[in-house]
Amino acid sequence: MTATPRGERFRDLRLSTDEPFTVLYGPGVDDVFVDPDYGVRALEETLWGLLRSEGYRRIVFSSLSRPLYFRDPESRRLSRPGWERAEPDGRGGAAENGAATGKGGSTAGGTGAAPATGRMRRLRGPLGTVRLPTGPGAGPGSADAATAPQARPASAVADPFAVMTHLGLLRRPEPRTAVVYTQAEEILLHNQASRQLAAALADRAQDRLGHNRWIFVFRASTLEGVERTVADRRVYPALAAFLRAELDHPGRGGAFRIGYPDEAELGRLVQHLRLRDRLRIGDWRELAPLLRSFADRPRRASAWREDLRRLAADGTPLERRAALDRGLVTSVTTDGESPWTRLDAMPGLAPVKRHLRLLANRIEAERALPARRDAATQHLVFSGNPGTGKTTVARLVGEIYRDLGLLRRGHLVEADASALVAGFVGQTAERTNALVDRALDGVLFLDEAYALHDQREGFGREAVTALLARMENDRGRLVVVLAGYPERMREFIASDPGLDRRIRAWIDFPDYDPATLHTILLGMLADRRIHPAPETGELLSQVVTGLRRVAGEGFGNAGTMRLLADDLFDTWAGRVQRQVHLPLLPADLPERYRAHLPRPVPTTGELLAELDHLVGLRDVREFLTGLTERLAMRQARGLPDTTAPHLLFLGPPGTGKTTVARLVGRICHTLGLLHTDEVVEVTRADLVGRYQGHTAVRTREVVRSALDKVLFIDEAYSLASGTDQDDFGQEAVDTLLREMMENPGRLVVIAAGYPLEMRRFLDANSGLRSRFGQTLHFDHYPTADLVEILRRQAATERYLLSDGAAQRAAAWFDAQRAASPRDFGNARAVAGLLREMETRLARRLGPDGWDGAVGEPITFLGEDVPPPR
Amino acid sequence: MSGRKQIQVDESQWYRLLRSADELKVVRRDLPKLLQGVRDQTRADLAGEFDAVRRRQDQSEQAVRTLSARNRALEEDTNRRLREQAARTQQRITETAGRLRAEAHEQLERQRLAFAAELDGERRERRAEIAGLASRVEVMTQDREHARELSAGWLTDAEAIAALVADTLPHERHAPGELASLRARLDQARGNHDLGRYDAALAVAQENYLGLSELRVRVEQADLHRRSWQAEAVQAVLLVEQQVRRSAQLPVLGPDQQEIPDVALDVDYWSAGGLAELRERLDALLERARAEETAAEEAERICREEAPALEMQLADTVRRARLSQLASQIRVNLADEVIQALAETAFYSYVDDAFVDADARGAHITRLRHENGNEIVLDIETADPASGRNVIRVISSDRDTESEADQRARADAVHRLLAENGHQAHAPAPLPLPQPGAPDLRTDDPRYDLTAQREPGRRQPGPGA
Repeated sequence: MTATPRGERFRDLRLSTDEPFTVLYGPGVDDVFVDPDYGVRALEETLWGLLRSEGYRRIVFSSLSRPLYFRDPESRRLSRPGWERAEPDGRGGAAENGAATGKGGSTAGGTGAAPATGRMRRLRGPLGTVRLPTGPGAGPGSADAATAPQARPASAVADPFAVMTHLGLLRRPEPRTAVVYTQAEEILLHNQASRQLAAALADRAQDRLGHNRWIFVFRASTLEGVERTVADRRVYPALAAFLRAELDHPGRGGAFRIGYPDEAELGRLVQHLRLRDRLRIGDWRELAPLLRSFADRPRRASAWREDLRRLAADGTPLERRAALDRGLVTSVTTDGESPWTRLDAMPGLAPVKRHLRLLANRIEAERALPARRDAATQHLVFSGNPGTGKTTVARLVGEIYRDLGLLRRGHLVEADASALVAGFVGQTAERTNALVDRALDGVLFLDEAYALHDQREGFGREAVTALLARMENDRGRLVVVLAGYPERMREFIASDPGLDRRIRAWIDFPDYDPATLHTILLGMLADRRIHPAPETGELLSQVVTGLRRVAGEGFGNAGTMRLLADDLFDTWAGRVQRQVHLPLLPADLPERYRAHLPRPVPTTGELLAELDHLVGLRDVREFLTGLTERLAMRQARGLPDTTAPHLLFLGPPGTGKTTVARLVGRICHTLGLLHTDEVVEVTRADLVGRYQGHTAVRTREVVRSALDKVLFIDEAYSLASGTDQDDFGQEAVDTLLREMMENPGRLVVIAAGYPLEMRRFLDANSGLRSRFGQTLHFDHYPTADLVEILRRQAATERYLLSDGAAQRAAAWFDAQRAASPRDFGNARAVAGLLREMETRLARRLGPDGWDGAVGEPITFLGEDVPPPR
Repeated sequence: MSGRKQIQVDESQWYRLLRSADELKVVRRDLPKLLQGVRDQTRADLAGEFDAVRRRQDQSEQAVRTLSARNRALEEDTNRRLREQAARTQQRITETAGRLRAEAHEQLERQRLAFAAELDGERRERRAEIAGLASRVEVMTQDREHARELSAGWLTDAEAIAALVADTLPHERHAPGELASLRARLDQARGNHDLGRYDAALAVAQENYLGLSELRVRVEQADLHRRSWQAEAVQAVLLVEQQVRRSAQLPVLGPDQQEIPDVALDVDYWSAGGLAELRERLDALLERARAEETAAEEAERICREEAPALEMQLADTVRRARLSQLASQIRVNLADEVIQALAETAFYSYVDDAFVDADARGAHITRLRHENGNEIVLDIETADPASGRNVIRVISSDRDTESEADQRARADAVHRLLAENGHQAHAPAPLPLPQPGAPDLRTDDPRYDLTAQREPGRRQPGPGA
């Protein structure tokens, strides 16, 4: 017996295993299969051929309507000596042609049996084999008297006997026998001998002796679905237990999924249709990429056959254009270039390319060596920000692996990790398995894979467990690419040693550098048929550089370029209307991108003018002047990595710390060190959470919201004030420090508070002290400064201070400070006093009030100032 | 453990039609040929019989020639008529060869009666003549010599007729004692004549002569009558015998009304010796028909009643044989159907089949075996030969399971499939309870040892059947 070469979809099907049953399932079960001999067959016929090649001499089929039938005379002959020939037309199947000659021995001594057609040999009576009408009502007068017995359709084997026969055949050691239940769901549901069937299954499950095979074909697309069907029926515990075990320990070889056709099989289908249905090929060069695109779609060969037949019927040649027009595929890689060529054509990604080359070389070396029993896993981690080409590269990896012979199809199945997680127990594993099933022989690309780590209530864990099992068991047929932000991926992979062990390589996708981003942007504009004017190209390069400079974690890379290209298109299109030949001009750059354009370095004088408005704070002014002059100089000299320092503001409340913080923001922004001049003011309450882990999240969120801004943490010492176990201040401090380290130059953190308590804050983490480059001391205002502040604040509201009022105010401040030196509010006390003076002024003016002009100032008198308390 | 099921299958309508079929038509097929056969077979006998009649008539004519002139003319005329009648009867019997129809019988009877009436008329004329003569004799008594001559003449004629009757005719059979009585009176007349009392002798001689002449005619006719019935009776019996001989092996028609080649109905075998019994009865009847002592009335009864009754019996026997053969075929057909059904529905395979005692008229046994070793025996028996109803017993032996539920499910499935196959199956006896009074059958029952059932010496159907 010559072994027929197997079709791709059956290559890994094991028909000789120790398992008591073989369960087939999956979307391909109802499909047709284009075998290596170019024959198109349904599963039953294909399975028959496979079993024959495997050495099964007797192959018995069973469906709901035909509980026992054969496809070949040999199997029938081995099952029922004395049966004369093929079953009547339409019942025997195409594979069985020609009648088997039964052995005559059985009737040697009987009344004699004559050969008959389609039945047991016929008994001979005194009138020979004449059939007399024996049924009631039959008589010479009735028209069908002579033909009635022959015309009656043969009845099917009754269920009790079918089950009895199946088990009987399986129990016999010889000839080697396979019993195939082609409609397992229906048979298990409607069998009228379910009791006997359950017993037979239980017998078979226990008795693994012998090399016979009991095969069940389920239409369910997942093994979980199969298991649920059987378990829900509650009648076949032996089979349910078997399925459970197959689920828990995949790879035992008892269950096999039949998937969708790959490129090679579809190629044979096209050739088959070319010969049979006169399908024409438009351009042979397009065929290979077309087939690749076909194979990427999870689709049955029967569906492709229908579509291609329609093409043939229309006389439309098969080519790229027709395939796209008919919606057979959404895109076709037409050039037919190797995946390496296409990888090389991708801008940037130098480290990725290098890495993949090395990997491919290693794989080729491994394959050149004698085969190892345990295939190495080929799963990968792609870490990097969005838009860094991970998906595209994953697709190419599939093709590269396919070319290397590691994968049969090399198609890409893309999914968000969060999509795996379902709402109740068991469903997550089922979803995961269904997804893996789709990706078999190709690449499963799981984006934001770390999301599984974050999942609550353990369902993420369930997905990881299921995924790990499949990564291990199907390692010869599956490459899983786990992708996500670098830091989160590190945490995720580290969380599970099993995961780490199964990763063949870790490939970092760095953010694109400005030049690459610029190239990508220009490519996108070219795709949109927009041609930038030369000066616009330069402008865009600056914008991209600016965008790239402020890029943090989660930078969109190519995605950001796409948004920019879309925005440019919108303004350009709004301007040129139908004159689409007009170039893209600098004016088309939307306003919100202009912030990224470099600004002329301002003179220190302009910057420091603001300081002049401050009252007192001589040390502060000196520091800021120095800082400004230093940064301005570095800027002017074009030195890179010029960053603004983090600052400690030490001093009692009301001494101008917040005001100065805002001023720092404006200075940094003006110098181009920060993207905005905004200040995010927070306190402990904004940073500390309510439970373990919550604080880190909140602190991180706060820091992220303050990127390119000033983060002003007032009373920062309170973060380190907690003493008991439940205080999460420490966590906030640690997180804050880490974020500061990870985002250098992206924000200025200013921690403010009383000098003494702030020392405790700095002690909370040894790294803090070195991070805060400068400390500014804010002392209590002298009384004269407070009076000056009062005067300036009053002036903003068109009030003037009389000397008397100034003197009384000074006395009032002194009295307040003396009463409670620690709580004295400094500048805040000024505002309080001003409100009281306003009230007293109003009372002094009497019921008639103010009768002067609207813009005319009014002067506070001494009596308007309240007496010291 | 064995399971058993008993199912009654009603006779088919066709079987009922066959049962009422007219088998007379079958046994009477080719009647002209049969009649010719009988005619050929009986022609010599018949000729011999009538030759004897003719020889007697020759003797009569010789005797008549010795009569006196005055009586000779009359007797010659009578002789001619008798000869004519015998010839006509012989011809008629030969023609009909035992198949006399009623009208032919009546015609023959009318002819006989007409002949008798004619003779009677002549006799009356003679008596009147003689009466006239007697008155003249009284006138002539004075003339003694003439009276002596007359008396002697009449005496001689009368004695000649008496001798003729005594010598040639079975008068004692048809008119016992009459001749003796007439002769006694003739002797008395001869005595008177010898004593010279011529007038007295003459009157008695004349009277006697007339009586004897009439006796001769009567006996002659009765003899002819008996002989003709006897010939017909023989012919009738021979005809039935021919039919019996030709019915030993009959062709068989199939449901398509075409003769089934190479198949014949061995009537004696299938009727369980019915034909042999019929032959014995026919032999006895033929012996009676041929016997000399058989009276005309008995011969007529044989001809009119007994031979037709045997013909009816032959038709019955043929019908019985045919139904028996059909029933046997139907049993095999039923077995065949059940085998097919069990092959298709239960996946059993045929192993062997036989009739009990190798007798095709009895129960038919079939053994089926499943691939897993389970066995089913079908035992099909005609419950009542008259009704044509068959009983199918299904005895199963399951070796793969001891579960009663499994076996019951299978037995029910067998029942269902028989019902689906169109048998008017009565509800089966529940398992595993045996039928009351019936033996608890098992597949290993000696009855189902098919090798033993085929042992040589058991009854076999006749050749060709």
